[in-house]
Amino acid sequence: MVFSSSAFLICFFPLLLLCYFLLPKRCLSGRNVVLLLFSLAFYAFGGLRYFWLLCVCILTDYLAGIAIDKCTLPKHRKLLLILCITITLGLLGYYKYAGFAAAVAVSLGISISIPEIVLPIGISFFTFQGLSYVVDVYRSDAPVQKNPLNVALYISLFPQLVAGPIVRNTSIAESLRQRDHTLDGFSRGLTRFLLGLGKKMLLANAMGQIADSVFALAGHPSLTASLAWIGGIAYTFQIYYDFSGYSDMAIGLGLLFGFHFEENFNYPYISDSITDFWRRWHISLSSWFRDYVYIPLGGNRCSRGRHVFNLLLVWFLTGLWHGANWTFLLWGIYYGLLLFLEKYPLRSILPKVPAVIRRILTLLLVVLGWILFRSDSVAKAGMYYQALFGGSGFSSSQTVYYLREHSWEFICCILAALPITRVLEKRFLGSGAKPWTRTTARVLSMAFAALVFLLSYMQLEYGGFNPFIYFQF
Amino acid sequence: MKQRPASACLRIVSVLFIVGIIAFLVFSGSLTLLRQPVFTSYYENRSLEPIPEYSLAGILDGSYFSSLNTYLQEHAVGRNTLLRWETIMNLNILRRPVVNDVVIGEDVLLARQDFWIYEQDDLRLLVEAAADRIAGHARAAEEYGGRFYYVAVPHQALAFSDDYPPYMQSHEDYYLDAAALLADALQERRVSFLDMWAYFRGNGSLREVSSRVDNHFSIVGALETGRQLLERISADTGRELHYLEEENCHIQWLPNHYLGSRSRKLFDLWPSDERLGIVVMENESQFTRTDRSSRTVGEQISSRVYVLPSSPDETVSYNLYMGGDWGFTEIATDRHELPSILVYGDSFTNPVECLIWQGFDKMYSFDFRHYSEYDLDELIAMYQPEIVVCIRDYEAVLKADGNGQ
Repeated sequence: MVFSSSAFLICFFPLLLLCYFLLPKRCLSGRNVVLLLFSLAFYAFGGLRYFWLLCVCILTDYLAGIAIDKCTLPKHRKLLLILCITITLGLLGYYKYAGFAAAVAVSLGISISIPEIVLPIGISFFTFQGLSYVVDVYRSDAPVQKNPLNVALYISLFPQLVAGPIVRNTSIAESLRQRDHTLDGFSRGLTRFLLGLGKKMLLANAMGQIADSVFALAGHPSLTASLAWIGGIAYTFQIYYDFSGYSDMAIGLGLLFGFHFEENFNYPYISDSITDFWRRWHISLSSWFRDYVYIPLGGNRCSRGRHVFNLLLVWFLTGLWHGANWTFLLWGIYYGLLLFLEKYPLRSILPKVPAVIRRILTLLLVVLGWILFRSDSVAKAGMYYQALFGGSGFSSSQTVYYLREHSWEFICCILAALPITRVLEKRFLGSGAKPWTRTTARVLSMAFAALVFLLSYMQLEYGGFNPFIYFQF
Repeated sequence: MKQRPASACLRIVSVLFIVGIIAFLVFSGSLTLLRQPVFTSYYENRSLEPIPEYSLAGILDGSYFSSLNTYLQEHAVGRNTLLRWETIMNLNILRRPVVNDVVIGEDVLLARQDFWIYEQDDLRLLVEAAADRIAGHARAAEEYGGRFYYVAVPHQALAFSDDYPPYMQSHEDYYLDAAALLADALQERRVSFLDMWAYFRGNGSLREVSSRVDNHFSIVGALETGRQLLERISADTGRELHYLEEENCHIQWLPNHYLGSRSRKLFDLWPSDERLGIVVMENESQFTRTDRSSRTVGEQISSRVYVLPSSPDETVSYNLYMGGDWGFTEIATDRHELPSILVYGDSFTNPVECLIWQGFDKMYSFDFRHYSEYDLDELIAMYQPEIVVCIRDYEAVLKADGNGQ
C-alpha cells in the first residue's frame, strides 16, 4: 500500500483513526496494539508472501536485544550481535543481491543459474531500522525493549515501514511508552501529510512522466542535448519530491499519533558542496551509515589512507544499499570520490569560490549523479552522458513540448526546492511574531494544505501514473 | 486561564480543518463502498475495473489488493466530477497545450502524437509486408473472379497537420512517404488502390471532410469516399452504381449535439458546433440486417443503418453510423440480380457502409477486431462476393493486427 492511493486515503487511514482514537487516551498500550495491527496489515497489503520476512526480522531483533542485554560477557554479547547482523543482512543480501551476484558471476565465466527473486517491499528500510536498535542496545545507547510488541511496533510502524525515514529507537522509545496527542500536533501532522501528498502527486509524478520518456531514449538519435538536460532535471526533481514527499507524509502521519520523527531532507538542492548535500539529503540514511559503519571503522580519526578507505567503503555500501546494479555502485563511488576531493585536494580551494558558483557546481554534480542513478545500465548511462553534451545535436521540439506542457510544475518545483517556507515560518511563526500573525499564518497554511489535498485527490483519480521510486528498496 | 482570541481562533480553525479533511475521506470511503458498482465510464469510454475475485494466489502475491485499490480508485464517489474539475483546470486555468492527451487547437481537437523519427528502410519493409498481405487477399478474391479494392483514407492528424503546434509532430511526412511507397507496392502487385488522402489533397477539401472533434472523417468524407469507390467499381465492372451522385441523395444534418472521441476525452467541455449528418437517398431499398459481435451474445436483427436519436436534445456520437463496430454484419436487400460485396476494416468503414449497401444484393461487413470465427481468406472463399473492399485510415494501414491481417 502507498499513501497516495485510494485504498489508503479513503479506507485504511479513516479506519485507523477511528480505531485508534476510539480508545481512551489512558489506554496507550491498546492504541499501540491498534497501530501495530494496522501496520502489519499495511505491509500485508503488498502481498502475504513476504509477510513472514518482516516477522522474522522483528523476532530476530527482539530476541537479540533481550539476549544481548541479559548477557554480561563482552565476547558473548559481540557474538550475539554478529549473529543478529548475519541473519538480518543475510536475508537482505539474499533477497536483494543474490540475483545481481549471480549475474556478475556468470559474466565472469562461472556457470550458475541466475535466480529470479522478487524484492520484498521495504526490506532495506526495516532491516536497517531493526539493526540500529540491536546495535544501540549492544552499545548501551538505547534501553532494551522487554515488551515484544514495542519492538514490533518500532520496526513495523507503518509511516516509515516501506520507505523510511530510518528511525532510531532512541528517538521514539519514550514515545512508545508515553506520548501526547494534541490538537496542535494533529493539525500540524495533517498539514505536513497533505503537503507531502501534494509533492508526490502534483510534482513528482509529472516530472516522472518526463523523466521516464526521456531516459527511455538513451542511445536513440532523438535524444538531443536539450532533451537530455530536461530529462536529467526532471528526474532530479522527481526523486526529490517523490522521496521528500513520502518523508513528509511519514513525519506528518507520525505526528498524528504523537510520534516525532527526525527530518529527512533539508533543502538539499541549495547545498554549496557535496558534503553539505549529504547533510541535507536522506539524512536518516547518511547518519545511519555514519554511526554504524563509518565511525566504527575509524571515521576520519585515523591515517589519511585509512580515512580515504573508510570514505570509499561507506559510499560503496551506500550505493549498494540503493540497488543491485552497477549503476548504483558507481553512483556511490562517484560520491565517495567527490567527497575525497572536497576533503583533500580541494579543501583549501573551495572556500575561496563564491557561494553562488559553489551551489551551481554542486547542483550540476548532483544532476550528473542522478543520471547515472536513474539509468538502466552503465552503458545506457554512457549513452545518456554522450547525448547530454551534444552527441546527437542540441535542440529538440520535444524539449519545448515538455516545457510548455509542464511549465507550472517546473516553476513549482524550482520554488519548492528553495527554503521559502523556512523563511516564512521564521518570519510569521517565530517567537517574535505577534499572536494574530502566527494564527493567520497557521490558518493560511491549513487552507493551502486543504487546497493541495483537493488538487492531489483530483490528480489521484485522474492518473494511473503513480509509481514510488524508493519502493525498489 | 482565559484563552486568548488568537489561540481560540486557531483552535476553531484547526478543528474545522481536521474535521473537514477526515470527513471528506470518511464519506468518500463509505459512499464508495456502499454505492452500486458502476460498470462503465461514459467519458472514458471503457469498462471500469470489476470487483477483484478473491484468490489465495492473489492474497499471497498482492495482486488481489492491487486490483482492489484500482477498483476503489475507479469507483470512487464523485470521480467524474473530480475528473471534470481537473480538465477545467488544465483547459482554462493552466491552459496546457495538451489536455487528457488531446492537443487543443484554435478550432480543432487533435490526438497527441508520440515523438519519433523513422528510418526509410524500416518504412519500406513495413510497406512491403502490408502490400504482401493485401495482395494475398486480392488473389483470394480473384480466384473465383471477384475484385478486390483497397481504400486508404486520411485520419484526422493528416487533415489538420498544420494545426499542430510547431513543437509537436503530426508525422505527415512519414505518412506521405508511406502513401507513395504503398501506392507503388500495390501497383506492382496489381491491387486496385484508392488513395482518398491524395484525392482530398488534390481538390483542397481535406479540412472539410474530416471531423474537428473526432478521429474519424465526417459524413462528407464518407460520402465522397463511397462515390469514388463506386465510380471505380462501375468503371471496372460495367455496372451502374451511381446512386450516391448529388442528384440521387443529399446530406441531412442532425441538430443534435455531437460528442466526438476527442471532445469526449475533454468531458465535452470544449465548445463545438459540429454536427453529424446522414445521407438520405431519393429511393431507398428495403433490407434486413443481422449483426454479430464478440461483445454480444447471439444475433441482433434490425432494419436500419443509422441509429438515430429519439429527440433533438439527445447527444449523438460516431456510433450513429451502423450502431458502432460490429464483428459481423449482413445487409440483405433480396435483389439477386445485383452483386454482393464484402467490406472489412476499422471504424472508418461504418459511415461508408451506411451508403454503399444500396447497390448490392448482400453486403457482408467484418471488423476483425471483434470477429475471430474465420479469417478473411476463409470468408472470401465462403461467401465469394463479387467485390471485396478494405477501408482503412493511414494510421492503421501498415499495422498487421486486427483488420490488417
